[in-house]
Amino acid sequence: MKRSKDVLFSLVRPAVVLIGGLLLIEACSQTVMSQEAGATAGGETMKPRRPAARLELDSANVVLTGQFSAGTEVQPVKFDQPVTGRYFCLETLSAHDGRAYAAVAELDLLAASGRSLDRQGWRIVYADSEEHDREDGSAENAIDGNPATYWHTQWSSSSPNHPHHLVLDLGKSETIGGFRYLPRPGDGMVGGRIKDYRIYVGDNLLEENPPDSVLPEKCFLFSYFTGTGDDGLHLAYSLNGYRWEPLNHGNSILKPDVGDKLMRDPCLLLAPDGVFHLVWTAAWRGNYIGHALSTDLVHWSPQTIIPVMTNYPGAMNCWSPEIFWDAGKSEYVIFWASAVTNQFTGGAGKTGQADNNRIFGTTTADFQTFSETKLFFDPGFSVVDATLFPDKNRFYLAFRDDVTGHLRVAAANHPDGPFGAVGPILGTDPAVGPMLYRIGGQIIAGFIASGNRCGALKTVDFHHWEDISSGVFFPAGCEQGSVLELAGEKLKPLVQAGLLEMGTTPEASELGVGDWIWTTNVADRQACHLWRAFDIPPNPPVVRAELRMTADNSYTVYLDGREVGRGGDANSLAEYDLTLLLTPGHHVLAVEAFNDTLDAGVILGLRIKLANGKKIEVFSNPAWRVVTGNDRNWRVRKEADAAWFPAQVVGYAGKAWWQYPYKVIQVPPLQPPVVHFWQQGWVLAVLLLTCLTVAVLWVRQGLRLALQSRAHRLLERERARIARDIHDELGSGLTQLTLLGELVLRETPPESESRHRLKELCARARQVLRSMDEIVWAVNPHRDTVKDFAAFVSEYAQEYLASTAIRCRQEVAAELPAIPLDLPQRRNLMLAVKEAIRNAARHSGAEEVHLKVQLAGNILKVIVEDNGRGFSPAAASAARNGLTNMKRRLADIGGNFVLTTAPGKGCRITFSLPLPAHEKNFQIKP
Amino acid sequence: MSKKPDTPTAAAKLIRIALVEDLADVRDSWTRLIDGIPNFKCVCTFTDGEDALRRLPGEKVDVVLMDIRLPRMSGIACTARLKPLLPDTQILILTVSADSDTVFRALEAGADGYLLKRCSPEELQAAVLDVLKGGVPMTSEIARRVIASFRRQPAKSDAATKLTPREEEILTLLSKGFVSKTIAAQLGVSYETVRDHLKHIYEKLHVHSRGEAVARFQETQEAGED
Repeated sequence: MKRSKDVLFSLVRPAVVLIGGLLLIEACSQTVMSQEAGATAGGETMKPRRPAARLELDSANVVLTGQFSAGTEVQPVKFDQPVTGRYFCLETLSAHDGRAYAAVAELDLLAASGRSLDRQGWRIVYADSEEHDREDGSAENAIDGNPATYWHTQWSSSSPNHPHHLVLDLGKSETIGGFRYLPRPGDGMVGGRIKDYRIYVGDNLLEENPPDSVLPEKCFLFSYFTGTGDDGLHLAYSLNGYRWEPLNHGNSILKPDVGDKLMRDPCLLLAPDGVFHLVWTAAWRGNYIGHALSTDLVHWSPQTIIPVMTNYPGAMNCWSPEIFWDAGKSEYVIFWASAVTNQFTGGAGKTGQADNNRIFGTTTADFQTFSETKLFFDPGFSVVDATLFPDKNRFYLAFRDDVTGHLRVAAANHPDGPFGAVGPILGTDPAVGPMLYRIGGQIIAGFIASGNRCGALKTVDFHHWEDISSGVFFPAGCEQGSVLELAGEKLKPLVQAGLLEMGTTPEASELGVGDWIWTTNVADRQACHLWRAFDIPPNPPVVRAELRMTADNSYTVYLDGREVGRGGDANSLAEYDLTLLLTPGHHVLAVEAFNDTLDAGVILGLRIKLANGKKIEVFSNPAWRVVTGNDRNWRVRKEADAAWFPAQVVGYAGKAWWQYPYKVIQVPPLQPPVVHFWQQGWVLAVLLLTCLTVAVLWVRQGLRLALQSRAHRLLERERARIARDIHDELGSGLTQLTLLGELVLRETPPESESRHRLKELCARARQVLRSMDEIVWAVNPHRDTVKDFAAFVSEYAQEYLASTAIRCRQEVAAELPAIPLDLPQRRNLMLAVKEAIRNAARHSGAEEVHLKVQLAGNILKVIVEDNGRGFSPAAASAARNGLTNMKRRLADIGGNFVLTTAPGKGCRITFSLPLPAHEKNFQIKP
Repeated sequence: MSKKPDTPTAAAKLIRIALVEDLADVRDSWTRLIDGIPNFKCVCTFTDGEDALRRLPGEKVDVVLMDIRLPRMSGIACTARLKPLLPDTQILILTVSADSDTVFRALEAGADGYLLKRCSPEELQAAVLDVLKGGVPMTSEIARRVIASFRRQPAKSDAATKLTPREEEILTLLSKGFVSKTIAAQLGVSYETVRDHLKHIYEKLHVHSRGEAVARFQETQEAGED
């Protein structure tokens, strides 16, 4: 019988394997790196560093269509009629060798007289294709005066076909009579020698707009003067309000024409009708201010003076005028500082009465008629450099308190006052020329401090001001002026006029980064998440990939959700080697940036070189998206969410952002995450299959064992039931029979025949009961141990021998184990022992029969020994039969029978039976 | 297991016998058998253990013949409860088979002897007279079990339940198959002395075994044994 412990062990082993296997799968099942094949190639290729332009060739601009001859000599071409235009376009239609390439060593333009035109101010404004990788075939070589260098269309990584276009910008309209073409030098085998061509000349050959991505959405414009103000109006722009870049390389863009030929304290206003108004201090002493208009900041109306203080004959000066648009009254409010002799007592400035200024103002709707000049603001002391700033239905007048020398603010509900109590001084330093503007939710007050230093204060409520001078960078040497917030497109004329170069400086572009980008509103303690996706083509493989980036103030950058690096030094670029990580397919770059205060921006450039020399570049620009919302997986999103909006350019590399030395710090190359052998799909599948198989087998085994033990238990129960039934029914029935027999026996007369018979009947019945006892004992499953066997044998021996004259001696081991014997074993052994005892009683003539029941190791020994006459084993056939039986019985159950006897030496029979190996259980069965 | 029939000595005193047996015809037969024996009278019969416990203490009885298998309370349980109530009454357990396990449990519970149901009237007479004289059943197997039972006792047992060396000696000799007469001869004491020792042994056995025996018997009864 299998015991529950056996069942348990045979089930535990496969269970361990199963659990172990499942744990193994758990540990290995990282996401298997899937290799997605076949993504579309993409990315940006190197563009020629020229203002991007769109060719708009009109057949009206065609001058002539012709054909060059083969060869290397210079070929002059004369036009039938001289033509006039700013742009000259050479269109190639075919080459002499029939291939796709075009090349020009030199291109000369001739005046109507045939004289070469001066190339001064020329530039190549458009070339559809240029070879850069294997040789220098840039279009500039066609006008560099060097016959050895030449323009060549691309031939190494791609070969775009004719027609090719080369466009010259002569800087201004010129009259062209013809041109000279110098073909590429070399032998007859070289390519690019142009055959058929067409010439266009005109003023509108190109739509030369700066691409929209270069122009910011909005920007700040600072109008100021330098030095004494003799050289006129200076402009500087800023994309974020903190760092300013002067236009026109720091030169003025408008020279003073009127008054004292002075242009100080310029104040610029963009009126609702789109016209820029400029007012300025035109003279040290005088009663007028300067005024001019412009629609594009490039071309200005003639400058005029407005004599604003004619009604005050004692007026000595009109300084730092400001112009403001009163939307409520649809009129311009103009105010300035004037000192009027003996007008005001007290509160004089440092030089006495001559410096006792007050703010006067006038209004006009058309600059034709002006309202009467009135006192605009009189705080009771000398005040200059007043500027007006609206905020939340209030109008704040910031000015310089000329007595203390500090800036102060007063507020009113209307642009023209009246102004309430003057607030405390702003900041700690004496300052002039407050200029107010807004960055996000904060109001900035720039000012000029002593020592020609520019500073700035920040507030949100006009009560608490924080000095942020260290974080604001006005142009060097600037004096006061005013700041305007403008839409970016307003800068377009300035760009077109060449006064403003948007975009990264050529020097900075060597760094391989884009522009500084950020989200639209800059705020302190602000997080900005930026996202960009790009594709790597399946072939050729990536040879090198470098990501350079930095941020103000800190960033963490992720590639495909995995952190690549982090940093926080805006002064240096960190360079990450991503070569091993850019496998073919779709990739996502994600940047988490954080701004502590003031400036904010992220600048980066990922340059990828492929095996065939082609480059893919991903730079920081408005193609990046600012991430909004709460998607936790934004770093691995394959496509941008519709709610995400383009990042805003807040600065250009090389411009105001990056005028201090930079470093490039290299980070060791990043390894791709290791895909271990066991993480591959098929390995996991095999493991899983194995575990499933083990699980199935385990369950089956368990079921089988359960069924087996159930069958066994049922059998046992049946046996017990049989034993009980025999015992109860047969036993009690037979007992009653004997009782009845006894009763009848009693009633029969002593001499009768039947008495004898009845006695026999009772004896027989008793015998039957005795046999039944034995059968029941044998069948009873609760009496199947060695211990029970020993008890039975002992009782039998004692009872049997008690009816003889033979003494019964016993030696039964006290601690016999509860090892079960199966039915054949018990029955055979019992019968054999009984036979031995009977033989001894009948044949041995002994006085004593010794019964020993012992356990030697795992062998059960039952010894029946008598001290009778013994016999010779060879003799006595009757005894032999019994002996044969005993031998057979033991052999049948795998035991042993040993007979030791000799005449006169008694007889000893040893029965030995090996017991199944089992745990010794010395508990006596209850 | 029954004993060698002893020659019945004529006792003038009437031996009053009670019978606890649930089967009616068996009860009937036994009653007639008992009454047929000279000087024996079956004075009362009971159908179950609870009945016996209620009424038996009120009766004047010398020997109780208790069937081991009774409807609710087992014969052994009844014996265990009855013996303290009637310490001078001898209780003989009636059992169909002489299974030494069952017999030993009955003896542990307090029975003074046992009898096979298939015994002849002579054997019944002999057994009753023997038990009245103070005889106790003792086969070598039972002696072994007694020894083992005492060995299982907790260490802190007092003199009331520990065997004396003489008692141990007697038990050991019994377990070896010696009969009481031979033991008496060997130890140089009288047969009665040996019998008294055995009586004492049983008393000690009863002290610590009675409750256990009942419980164990009930366990095995539930498991479907005799």
